[in-house]
Amino acid sequence: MNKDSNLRKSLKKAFEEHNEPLREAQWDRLSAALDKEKPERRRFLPWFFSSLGVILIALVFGYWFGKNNTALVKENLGSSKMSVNSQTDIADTTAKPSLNAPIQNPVQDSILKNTVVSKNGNQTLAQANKGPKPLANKRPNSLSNGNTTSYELGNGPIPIVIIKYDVPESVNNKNQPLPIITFNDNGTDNEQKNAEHQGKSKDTNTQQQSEIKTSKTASNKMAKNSNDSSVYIKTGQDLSVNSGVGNNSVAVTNKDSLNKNSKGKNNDNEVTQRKKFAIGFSSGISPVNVKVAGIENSNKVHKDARTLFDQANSNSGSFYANLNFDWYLLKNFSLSFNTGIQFRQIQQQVNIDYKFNEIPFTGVDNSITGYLHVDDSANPVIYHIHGLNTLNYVNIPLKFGYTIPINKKSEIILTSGLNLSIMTKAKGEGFSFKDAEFRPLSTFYENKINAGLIGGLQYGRLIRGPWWFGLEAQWQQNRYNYNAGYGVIKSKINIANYNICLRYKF
Amino acid sequence: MNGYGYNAIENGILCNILKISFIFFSITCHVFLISCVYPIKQSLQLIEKELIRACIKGDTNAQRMLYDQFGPNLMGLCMRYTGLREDAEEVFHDSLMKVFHNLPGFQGNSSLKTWINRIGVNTALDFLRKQKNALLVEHISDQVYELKDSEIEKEVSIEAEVAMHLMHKMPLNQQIIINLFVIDELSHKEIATQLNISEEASRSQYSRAKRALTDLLKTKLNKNEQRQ
Repeated sequence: MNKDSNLRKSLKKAFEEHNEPLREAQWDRLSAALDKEKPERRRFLPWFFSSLGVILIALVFGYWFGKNNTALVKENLGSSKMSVNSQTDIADTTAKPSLNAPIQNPVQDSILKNTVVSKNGNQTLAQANKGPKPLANKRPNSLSNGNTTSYELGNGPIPIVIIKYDVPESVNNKNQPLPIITFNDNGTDNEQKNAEHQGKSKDTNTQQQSEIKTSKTASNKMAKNSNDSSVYIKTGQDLSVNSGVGNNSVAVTNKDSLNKNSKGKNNDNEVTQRKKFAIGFSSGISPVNVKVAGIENSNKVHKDARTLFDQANSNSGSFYANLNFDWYLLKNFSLSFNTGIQFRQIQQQVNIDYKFNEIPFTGVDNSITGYLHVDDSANPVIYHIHGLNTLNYVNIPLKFGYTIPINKKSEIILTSGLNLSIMTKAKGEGFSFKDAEFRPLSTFYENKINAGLIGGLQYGRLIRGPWWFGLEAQWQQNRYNYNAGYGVIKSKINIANYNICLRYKF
Repeated sequence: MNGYGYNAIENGILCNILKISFIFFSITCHVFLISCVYPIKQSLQLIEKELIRACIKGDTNAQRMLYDQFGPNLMGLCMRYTGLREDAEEVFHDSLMKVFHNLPGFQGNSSLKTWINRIGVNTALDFLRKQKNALLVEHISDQVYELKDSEIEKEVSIEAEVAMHLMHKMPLNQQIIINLFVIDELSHKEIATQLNISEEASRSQYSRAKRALTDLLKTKLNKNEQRQ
């Protein structure tokens, strides 16, 4: 042990303060390598902040757009002094006694969900649907929340604001009498009229030259305001409007309700509920652009390596399939989180005849110190690089999406986020300058997960029920390292995806 | 009571006074040393922390300071493992790149020098695995060599260059074991983990390496004696 200690002590003493002198060139090399990395670290920040900025702008714009839409409606209504003289009651002939109070009480209002409103108290859905098309509204079947229109009645146009509203299922029966809009000429209070109105819709229908006394909306409440000559109808989804059944009638029917009732189905609650999730599938083809972002240890990489890499990747195309899941995060603010799994296959047709006429000289640290040029007359070696390279990737996008509704059937979705990507397969051969031979392509690529950016724009259209069809333009970028001898070619892959999508909201 | 007795008592008191004085003096010295050394140590740690912080921010001057301060020692370590200047420079470069990359994760559980050297050891082992394409340590986990204990009479003073020269005459796996166990003070357990061998194999390799090195050292010392 003691002898062992002597050996150990001797060696430890010898190497205790053992230093080796450093050459200035070592610092230069280290410093250059550290400098190269600095801009790469910073490069992420502009991307991150610009993406964040775009998302914020979209959110602010969407919020402003949604808010102003309602404000404009109110403003327009306030400025348009209508000269229709009538007073409006909203009631339902199927109703129970409390039916006429809905204007002030949202709970009681619920009777008018997905509604058909008729001036004629005994009118049914089928009858109302037969009426002539509205005069002012060019797209009778596309009214949605907050829209305004006006209808020519016997006494002149009546502006109507459609407001989302819930209705019990019982109202959707095709043969049931409809809720009504009535016109009174004596200017009495609405509630009073409503009370009188119960079961007397036919009587009120006969009154003429009435002044409309209606209400102002505040979210889902209605407050009465005799100065506002508009009829506010709370309803559910898109409406089709029929007016002019007789001189004094207006009927507002729900298109969804009509469709469903005509088929004997009744799933209106599904339609009116806000969806929380969506699953979808999208697929398409994508042009691929591969660029060299930089070369690590460039002094150890053959000068032709970059050109060869560019040529091999110049003719790339990609197939793309994506299974995704959307989670709508906020109820009143259409922000969603999107993830899923993507499969991507990039194929590269390579046709290169490489003439190896630059023979490198390497130093002791494998750095290339110079090249010996071999003329064509000296018969340089020619490598024939032909074939189809196939690269498979699996990506996991982590995106946030913002949905801007165009109307009830169309929407635009802006997405942005990160894309985690890994290469799962590399089929084909690559030319190795280090060994001057062909090797399997998989030995060139580093098999690491990398994070890139992804963003896109999608137009979605409701097809039927919960099914949506979409067209999407998406951009994504990922980086992969390609080992070229003792150095690494850092590649940047930009992909533009043009997809068709199918989504199921639930 | 005679004079002897008085003297004895006097001597006893004197001894006690001396003892107390010595204790008091040593306490004072300790307090003084602690009060002086501790702030110096603290301030050195602070300087080190500032240096690390500046390096993380990418301050080139700070990086140069760290390079100048720890580089020569790290280069010595790289030379010990690789034996060739060119290879050592490669390992040195890679080690320092790793150091600068991983500085944000340095928690200060050990000194910066120890941490840097440990990175150097790992990088050197990686380099040897790749470049030398060698099986670093023979797998002899089931077979433990009982060797005659090596002999060295006393602690000898040898220069680092000479020691390195002798070590590089040994097989690569033995060089690595000597470096790891003797100089870089890794335990057999740690060596076993690093080289993916059993602890027994590490011990056995060390015994063989020690014996080989002792023989080489003795030969070298004998030659020196003969010259003198």
